[in-house]
Amino acid sequence: MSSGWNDPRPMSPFTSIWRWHVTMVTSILHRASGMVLAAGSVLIVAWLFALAAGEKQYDKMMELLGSWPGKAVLFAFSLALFFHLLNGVRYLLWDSGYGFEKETANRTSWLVMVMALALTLGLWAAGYWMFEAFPGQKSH
Amino acid sequence: MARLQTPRSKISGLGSSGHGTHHYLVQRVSALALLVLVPFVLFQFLAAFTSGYDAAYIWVGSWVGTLSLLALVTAMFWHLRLGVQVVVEDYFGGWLRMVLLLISSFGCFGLWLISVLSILKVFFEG
Repeated sequence: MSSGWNDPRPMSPFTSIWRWHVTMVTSILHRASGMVLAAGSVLIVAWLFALAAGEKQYDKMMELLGSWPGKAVLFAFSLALFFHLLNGVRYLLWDSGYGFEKETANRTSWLVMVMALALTLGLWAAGYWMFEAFPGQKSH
Repeated sequence: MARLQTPRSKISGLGSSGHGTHHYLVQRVSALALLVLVPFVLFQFLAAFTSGYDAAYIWVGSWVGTLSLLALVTAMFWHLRLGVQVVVEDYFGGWLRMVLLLISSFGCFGLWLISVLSILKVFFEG
């Protein structure tokens, strides 16, 4: 906060004095996953750019994404995508006046976290299956 | 300049910058668009991603691929820019806030331009 914040009034309570509860976790994860996706958007642009640039550039890009660090980044990106998408539905429903009761909000918090993980694993299983099913990776 | 406004328009959407309501609405409208576009594109993308250059090129260059990808990157960077703005405004003040907002604006616009040009290049070449 060395960025010009000089308001002497007390700030709202920090996370350190709150008891952790699950809606707080999903709220923080929503912001965090949004930032991961913002950074990861560069990957989508790079992929499209490599495709437009030609086959050699595209294969190089795929080699980079297919390496272990590349796969780790893509896994984090897909997990963030599914979580942000599902939790975003929760927020849209809240904005329309549904699901804001404490019990419901707590339950849907857990639900979106579990579903995000399940969908991510499903996506990767489908991806590996497709890769096996269509092994024509570099052929013409 | 204020004299050009009616009292009604002066209070509408009142917020620190006077655009809070619009920001809120666009964030949610773009969220709705992405809610449809992301699942629609994701599995076609996965198929293209796992099947080599030619398959990816054909998909991006097809009408469905080009149109859905253009819609996706447009909604995505709009939504992204608004989201980053909220985070920047929460944690930074003063000149650093201004610099970060400018970087995110120019960055989103630049990345959007690159993706649109790449998609269209494949569409018109293919």
